[in-house]
Amino acid sequence: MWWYVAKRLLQAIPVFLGATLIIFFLTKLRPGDPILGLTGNKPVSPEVRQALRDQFHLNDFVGLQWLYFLKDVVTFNPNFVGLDGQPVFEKIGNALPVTGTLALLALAMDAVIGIVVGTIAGLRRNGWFDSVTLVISLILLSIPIFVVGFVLQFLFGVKWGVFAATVPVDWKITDLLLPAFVLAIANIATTTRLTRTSVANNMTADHVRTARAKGLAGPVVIRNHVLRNSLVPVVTYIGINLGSLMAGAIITEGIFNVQGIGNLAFGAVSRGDTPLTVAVVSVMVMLYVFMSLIVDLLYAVLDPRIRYA
Amino acid sequence: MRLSRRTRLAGVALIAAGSLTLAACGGGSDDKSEGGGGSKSVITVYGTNPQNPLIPTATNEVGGGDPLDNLFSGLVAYNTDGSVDNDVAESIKPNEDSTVWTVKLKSGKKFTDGSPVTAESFVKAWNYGANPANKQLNNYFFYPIKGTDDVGNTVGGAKTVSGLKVIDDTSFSITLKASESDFPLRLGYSAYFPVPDSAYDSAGKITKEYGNKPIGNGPYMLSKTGWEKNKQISLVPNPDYDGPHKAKNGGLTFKFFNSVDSAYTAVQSGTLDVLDQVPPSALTTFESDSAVKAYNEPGSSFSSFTIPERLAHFGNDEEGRLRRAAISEAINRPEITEKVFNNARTPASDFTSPVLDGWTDKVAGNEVLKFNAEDAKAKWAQADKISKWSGKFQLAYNNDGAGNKEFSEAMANQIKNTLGIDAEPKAYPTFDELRTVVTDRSIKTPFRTGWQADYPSMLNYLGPIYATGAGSNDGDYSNKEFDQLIQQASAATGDDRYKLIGEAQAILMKDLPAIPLWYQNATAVTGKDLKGFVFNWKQKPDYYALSK
Repeated sequence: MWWYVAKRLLQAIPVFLGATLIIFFLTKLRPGDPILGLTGNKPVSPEVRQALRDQFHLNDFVGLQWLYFLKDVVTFNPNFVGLDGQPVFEKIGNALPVTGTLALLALAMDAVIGIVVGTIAGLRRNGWFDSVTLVISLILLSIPIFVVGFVLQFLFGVKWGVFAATVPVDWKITDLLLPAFVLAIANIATTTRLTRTSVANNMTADHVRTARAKGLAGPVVIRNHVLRNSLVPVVTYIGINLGSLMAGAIITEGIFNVQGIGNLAFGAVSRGDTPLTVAVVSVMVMLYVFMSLIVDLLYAVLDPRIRYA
Repeated sequence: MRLSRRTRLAGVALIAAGSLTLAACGGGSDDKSEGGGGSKSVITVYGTNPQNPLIPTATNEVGGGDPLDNLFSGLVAYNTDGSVDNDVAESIKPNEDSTVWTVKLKSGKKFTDGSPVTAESFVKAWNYGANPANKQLNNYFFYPIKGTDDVGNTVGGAKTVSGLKVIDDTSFSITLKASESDFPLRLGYSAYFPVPDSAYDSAGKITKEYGNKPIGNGPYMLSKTGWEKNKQISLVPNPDYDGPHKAKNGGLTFKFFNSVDSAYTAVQSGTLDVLDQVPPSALTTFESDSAVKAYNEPGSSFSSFTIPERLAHFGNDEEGRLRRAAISEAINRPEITEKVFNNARTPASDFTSPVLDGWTDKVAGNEVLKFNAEDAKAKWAQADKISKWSGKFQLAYNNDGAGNKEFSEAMANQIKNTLGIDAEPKAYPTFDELRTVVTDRSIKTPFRTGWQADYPSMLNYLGPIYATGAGSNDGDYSNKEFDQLIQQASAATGDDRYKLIGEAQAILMKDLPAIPLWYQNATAVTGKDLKGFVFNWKQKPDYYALSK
């Protein structure tokens, strides 16, 4: 199994190279000269403009620019700066904790609420609880996240003052509860549906009928034979979601002013700051790779048929 | 101990997940309790992460500019109404034709590291900013000084500006290219701030450390935590400061926001004291919002759109003038400022701004800025007789600015309906994309332009934009008569000056190198308990005067 983990980690290297290369080229397709974004409405002399372009290697062939980028990232160069002259790693380091905590909180809400509600609905398929959750989850799925975000922010943050309306710089976990819930809402609905269907299917599976025929008690059958097997697709979904929760938090981070990864990426893209954009997106890619490895390992725990040699 | 394979697998997964959690929880627990101002409270104000090092000659956007204005004091200080008082300067005296200015500094002024503010502190910093090798974005501000080119870089890449001479420790002289009677008005702008000796490394470059932790001579200095990237900049009062802007609060914290919307919510919920603008989403409601104090008054930024002379049918000739006037009269400005901007803009009646000294709404020929469908149609038809119009009238705008899309669409519709021609807006996704095609002169359509003055003078709205060959003359407009009037106005004073400016504006009204649209209002919201909020001429609060 360790060999399996090592193999997967080795695989991450080409994924990293490929991802950065593609993103790098994509950001270069964006027209416009970022230097002129820096200068604003004020005129800039051609000498200064060219000197700045040289400083950020903007006049070189794109492939070569990518190699410069790689060198800075691989050597973890503390002087590796974005277009604004600010160190990229420091910015990412500042943004990761809050985004990570936000994503994990959202993930926890998603997993707990989604699995519990989904399981109850699945065990009593087509009962009233099942029908009600179906309706609620459809509603949650169909409301755009920014509507939910602004409404909850106004009610809980501004009107009643239960939670902080915006996340302060020196945030505490409690400040993140509301944004995390907003972030988790759409996923909770999906997790609930997924768990419910999976549990309902497993209730009629052969191995469950066999277990019952052996005379095992109801709760034991459900815990050991239904739930465990039902969780495989759910774990896949939730695990992969951590990546998208971190990356997809742009809207939520914007509403609640979380100075996290999503906003760092958004700002970098709109300024045409290639080094920062690619660095941030690579971090997201690596998180995806890492999470899918963890998910794969969890399969083996949940499903006895899966083994990694 | 024997572990089943499955248990071991779970262990690996848990350790992996755990390390992720730990990494995620590291950091983010700094102590933010800074003293510094006794019992006075610290005011939190809206800000954005500076996009350049915090060096006076490098910072050209508000994210860095607002903190800099509080960290430094220049030769002069701006009063709330835009007039100036000497600050670090004891006197700034011109020769008889206002081409050579001699600056004498007050003695005993110090930077917060204890070193004295000398003539060298200014001259060295300005030389540094004008030298193209240093890649300073504010080089442009040095263009009036002898020894620089049109965009303010030293001629031929020289290390120093020949028009700057240190006389002794506390005095220096500035020689200008042309006479300019209100030159000192410029000198309060951040590009002209002094920089201490400790900022430079052995090779004469301003260090990165200085750009992160600037040492100034202003009403405030950086707190211990200073500039936390992408989070905030916190300032505490400078105890040694004795200029006109002495802090009345216990410090300022510029909190960075991702969006103006979230900052507005923060003011509503009491976690932010001052937001110096209002998001479009709140424009209809902010003045009746009981959770905040609202401010709304005409401001100093000017919006227009430029029709370059090189476009077919829009040359600087009879036909071009008729068409420009027709388009200007086809636009119903009050309708747009009301419907699109909820009266947060004021329709323009000239090329400058109503907050300035000498401004008047009686500029000869400014009836061309009033909606007049009949006359617009007549002028357009007259132009058609000279040369038949064909094709499309497109208006280029950048889509990343709030309200740009809406007003461009509305305007294109008005032009289309009034003149019966094919008109449409043309979107560029970002500001820098639009600026690239404008700067390279490859843009084939009219485009939106705007101007926010750097110093409170009407001439700052005219010379840099419409003078022949000027740095921001995006439409390549050229009119000898206008150039001459501007030059005379620079040298004149008092009513003569305003008369000359009026004549220069009358020429612009005829030629319409850019079509004036509106002045942006200064809008802001603050917390209910905040006191001392007043807009200065720059549409910014006087930060030092805030208290609660």
